[in-house]
Amino acid sequence: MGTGRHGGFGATKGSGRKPSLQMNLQLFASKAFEKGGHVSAKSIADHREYFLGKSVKRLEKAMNQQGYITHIERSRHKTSKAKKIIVENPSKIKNITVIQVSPYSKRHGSTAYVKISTTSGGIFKIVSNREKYKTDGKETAKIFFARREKR
Amino acid sequence: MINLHEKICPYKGTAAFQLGDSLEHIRMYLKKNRIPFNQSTDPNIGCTPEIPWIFIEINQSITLCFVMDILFEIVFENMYSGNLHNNVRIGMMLTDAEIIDPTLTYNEEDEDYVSTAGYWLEDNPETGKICSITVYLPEVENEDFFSYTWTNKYKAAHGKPFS
Repeated sequence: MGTGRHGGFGATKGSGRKPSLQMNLQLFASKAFEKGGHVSAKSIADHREYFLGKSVKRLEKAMNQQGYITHIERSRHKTSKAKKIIVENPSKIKNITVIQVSPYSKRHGSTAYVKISTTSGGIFKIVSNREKYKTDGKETAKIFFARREKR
Repeated sequence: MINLHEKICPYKGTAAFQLGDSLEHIRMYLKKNRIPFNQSTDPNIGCTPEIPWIFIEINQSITLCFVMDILFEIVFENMYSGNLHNNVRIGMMLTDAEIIDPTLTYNEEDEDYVSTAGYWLEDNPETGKICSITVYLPEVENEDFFSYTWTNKYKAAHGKPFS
């Protein structure tokens, strides 16, 4: 019996590394959001992948940690698969008004995207897969494609 | 069999399926007329409030959407050939529909076209043709839609107690 070369019993294996990993993720989140929960074209562009691959609930939790008061709504349109995180306390600093998460759409193809609307009127769309995304030229959002595509 | 040619009326539905009807009434109608259907539920997990929506799909052409047992939205697609009151129909070029109904506006949020006359259209961007028509209860447009308190009005009309 003993720890051998596998690093000990299940509960203790690798336990020393967990805190630093969590710290790194939090640091990444705080970069996606600027001071006070603000987002800008630059912060979104630089950390675009942060918004992808997360459930609506998890994104909402990240926003709540930045001081946003939110609730989740589905689209009223049955044909839309989108869910929206609606901000109840938007301001100049906490400038997100809505985050819309769409797993795919008839119009834009079989790729997930996240759309962030802000108080200044700026709309930013982060698309998971550039090749699968179809655009129709009607969009007003500034589109960022993931640099490392999620499949 | 189901009639796929009935006229579509905004805020009302069709002769067979009237917006505001109860789930129980529609299920009885479908069973009585031996119309096959698929029923599914979206539990709306995480939404405020977390109240499920129930869908009844008929012949891949009609989807009836219920909340708290009230039919609030109907989507027509694929083989449905009934016209709207203004003769807009599935398969028509969207550009032609825009001439008939100049109030049609692109809705970037839901990726469809909204008419002030009480319907939504989806087009296929590759063909430019209309691929679905949706009609709904007037309450769907209201700010307090998600409170679902408006369903009481329809339940009362069916003689059901308020919940």
